[in-house]
Amino acid sequence: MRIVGVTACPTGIAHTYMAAEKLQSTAEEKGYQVKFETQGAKTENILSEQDIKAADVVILAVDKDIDLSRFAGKKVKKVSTSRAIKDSAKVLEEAINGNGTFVPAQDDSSQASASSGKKSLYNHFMNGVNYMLPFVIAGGILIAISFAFGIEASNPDSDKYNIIAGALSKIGGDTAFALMVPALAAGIASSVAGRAGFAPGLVAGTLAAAGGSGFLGGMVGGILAGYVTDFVANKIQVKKSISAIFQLIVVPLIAITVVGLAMVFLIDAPISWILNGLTEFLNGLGETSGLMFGLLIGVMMAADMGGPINKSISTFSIGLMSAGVNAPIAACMMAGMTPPLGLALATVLFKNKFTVEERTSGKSCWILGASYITEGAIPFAVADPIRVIPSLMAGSAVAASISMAAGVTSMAPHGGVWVMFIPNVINNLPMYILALIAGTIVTAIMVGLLKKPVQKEKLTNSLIEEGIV
Amino acid sequence: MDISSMLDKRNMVFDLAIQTKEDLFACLAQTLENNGYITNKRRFIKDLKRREKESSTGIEDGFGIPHAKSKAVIKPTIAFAHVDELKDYPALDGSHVQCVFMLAVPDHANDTHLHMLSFLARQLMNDQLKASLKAANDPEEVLAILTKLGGE
Repeated sequence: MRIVGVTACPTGIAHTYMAAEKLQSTAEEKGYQVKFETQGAKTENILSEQDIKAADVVILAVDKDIDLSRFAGKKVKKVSTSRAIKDSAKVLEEAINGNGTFVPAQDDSSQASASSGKKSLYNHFMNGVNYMLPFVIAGGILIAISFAFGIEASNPDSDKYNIIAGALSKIGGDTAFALMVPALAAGIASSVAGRAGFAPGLVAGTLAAAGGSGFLGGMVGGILAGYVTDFVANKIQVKKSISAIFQLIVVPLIAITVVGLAMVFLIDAPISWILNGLTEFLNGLGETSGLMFGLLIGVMMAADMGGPINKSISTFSIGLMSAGVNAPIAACMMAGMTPPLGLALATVLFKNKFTVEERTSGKSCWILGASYITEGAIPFAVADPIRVIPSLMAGSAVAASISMAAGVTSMAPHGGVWVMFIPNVINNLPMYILALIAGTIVTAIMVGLLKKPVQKEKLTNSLIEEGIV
Repeated sequence: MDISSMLDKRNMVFDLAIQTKEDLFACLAQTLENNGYITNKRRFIKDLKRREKESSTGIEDGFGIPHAKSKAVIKPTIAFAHVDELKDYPALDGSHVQCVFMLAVPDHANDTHLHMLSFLARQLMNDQLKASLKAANDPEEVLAILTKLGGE
């Protein structure tokens, strides 16, 4: 009888090793061959592929989630470390007799989660955020740096063109930012359906980006891609003889087709209606007071950050610039700066409401917000849309209406702080800065009041990542 | 490296007056603070309790190994206590903890120290060792028993 296994506990100091020791000594007494990998503070005694292949049964004595894909097709017995310590003989016996064992499926992380309680939607979204975050941070900062060369420096047609600024803008804006929503959707889909979900998710996200539905479209697309793939890959039974070909060809083909059609017809079409409807509404708005229009600008700018609502108002405001009306674009810029700035402030003021990673990415939000790169707020919005988006809308509405009511105008459509201090760009800088500060504070306070403290379980996860346990 | 290098006779407590987990943590943390192993006993106790909340660190035969990785720890060490049966500190086998190894680990412990701690955790699965530790009457005896284990 050959037995292999893994032991792991959250702290990785004691129970991991006690469980391994107890199982090992008990098994050796009975004359079994055993090898236990200890995933403690560091992983030791690592099981090789041959070890696993040669084993008759696998025992996992774990108090946290571990990767099961290595054990695909093997008979696996999973217990807590405390049970392994207390009842080692019984655990061994049950494992050998196939009592309470299961067989993890090929190539599948969703099975791992199925056995330890279903992952929530929140986990899927957070996984998407983790995929997306590098694009947002690196891309945003590169764009901000290109602004530092001068606001027109990345435009080849401008006489202020600078080749480095052009390249940075191409890398950050055209490439990294373009991959943001696809990465989000691919991350969400992979979390739901394992590796098989990656490609359908990527396709769904790219369609969302191209179709103009922005990150909200990407979230819907990612979830859709994940569940469709999971269904096709794991719930449809096929004969073992054709299983390989089924997984390789049929699964991606069906998943991508179904998800793609859904995105094109069910998501993109309504989005373009919304876009048209909103544009018409704005065109027909006629005379409104500055304050009301400012509120509208703020709410729309922060509602979907790059989606149709945001796009219709910013395009409309840029259109007004050509007619010589320069106040709405100033309000737009303001409303686009406060979401990341407000969140950055919130991560400082309300530390217990954010995970460690969020607090870290909050730091980059200072730069992104100051540069009018609203996308910096998206990872926070994805993680907790119902509480975060209204807070962003409120702060942006306050900022934009102050800006409009004070009649602030801007000669530049973009650039944030990089253009604000250039003489003659902003006509009333003190009021503009006041609007910025007010909006930032409103968003920060609202986020702080609405968001729930990070739960202990999530805290523990971030502690594990910090290497504390 | 030898396990005795992580032991300090001054951190070994024999006190049957201690009857709750709370008292136990308070007493050992105070001892560690007095002897310069931790900076702040309250912080350390908080970290111990956080680990305890996940699952009790009681093992078997009246042994427990409360442990924490904590910013408050200056140098990694293993403290020992033999106390009265703690009714609020159950072990896996239903017994009440009376012998405790408390592992204090700094935030950035090196591999050697973590290795020693896992070595001790493994040794505690040995019934004979547990019996002899329980019978020990003073720090010298405990130290002698553990020193005999050597290291790896």
